[in-house]
Amino acid sequence: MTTATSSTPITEPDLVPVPPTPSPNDLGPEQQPGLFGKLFFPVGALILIAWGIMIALSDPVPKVDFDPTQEFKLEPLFGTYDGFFSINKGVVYLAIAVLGSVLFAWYVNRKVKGSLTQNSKTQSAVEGVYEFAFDNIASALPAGKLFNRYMPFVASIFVFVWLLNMTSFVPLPLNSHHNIGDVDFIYAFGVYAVTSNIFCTITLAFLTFLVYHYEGVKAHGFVGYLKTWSAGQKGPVLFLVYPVEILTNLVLKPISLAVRLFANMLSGHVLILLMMALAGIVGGAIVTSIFAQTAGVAVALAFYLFEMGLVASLQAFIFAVLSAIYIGSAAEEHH
Amino acid sequence: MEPEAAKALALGLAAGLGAIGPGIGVGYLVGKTIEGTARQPEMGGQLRGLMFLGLALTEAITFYALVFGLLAFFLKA
Repeated sequence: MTTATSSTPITEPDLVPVPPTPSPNDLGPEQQPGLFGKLFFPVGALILIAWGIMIALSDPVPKVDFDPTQEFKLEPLFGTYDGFFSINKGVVYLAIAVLGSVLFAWYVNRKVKGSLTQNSKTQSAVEGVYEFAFDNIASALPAGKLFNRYMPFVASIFVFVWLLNMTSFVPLPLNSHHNIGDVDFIYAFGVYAVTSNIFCTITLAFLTFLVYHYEGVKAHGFVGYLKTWSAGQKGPVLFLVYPVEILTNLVLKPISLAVRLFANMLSGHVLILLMMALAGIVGGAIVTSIFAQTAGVAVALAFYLFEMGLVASLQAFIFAVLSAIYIGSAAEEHH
Repeated sequence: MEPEAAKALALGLAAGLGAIGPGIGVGYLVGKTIEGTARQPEMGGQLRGLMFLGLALTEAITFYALVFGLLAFFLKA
């Protein structure tokens, strides 16, 4: 039997090793700045010094005439034929969007007839778009025959307008106002939004106008359809209600549909152009023009990303959903 | 007043004043969406979808005023 004697050292139980207490000014291991943090201030200082040298060595920027309407003029690209069938940059962008929509629909058709499993990324992307159109857009249509008949119409409007809006941010060499080099038919790169042309959007809105009036007359008869514009009121208040309803249904609905899309796209593109041309507009003193250039390019990039990411898709969605809502509400049963 | 100056004033006033109402409207709409999401977080997705719909509809009102300003600016007197 062994007993603890004074010759064996008394061992303390194992202590958990405690790290040394850090001083209050120490950042600690997980709070040391990474590579980005270490490079931020030196690189920033270098950029500012380069900017200052650029300002000091540059000439004043002359003022230019800023005329954004030139970017939206449609001129014939090939030859001088300016009639009904002339090809201009709007026609090229429109053809691209039409081709894209047709390919999309053909792909959906082929894949649905074939296998139903998602065995490729393209298939799941295309099916995702179809499901989005089915659930969100066509759900505004009432169920039944109207849904079956007009779901392709509303989904096609969505895909077509979405492609038009998105391709309006892709530069193509179609800008007939400037040429690359001295060759006459190699045009400079430019961007054109087909939906910033009021005639394009009003044509699409006119289609919806025809459809919802046709469906309203078909569901209620001509006189019955006019009676549904009474908003549920009876008696002499109809003298106030009817002019407003006639104005809304005949003028405001299609015009607002067209103008919403047109003005969103037009103002987006004009803002981008304006920001890029800021230096030329401000002109004059060196410091202000360099600052205007830098700020202008940065803001133009921000607007570009905002428009392409959010506004284009949102406006296409809104156009399609409102078309579905108008068709549904024109054909709905009496309250 | 010269016609150029009047046209420039018309465009500026139209675009500027026309943005007051929709600014208030969009702020109110987004605020209500945030409030609704705070009350019922599981409805957040649906509320966001409805917010985007309302957003585009109220944003369009700015453009109605802007279009008239553009008409005043670019049409001949």
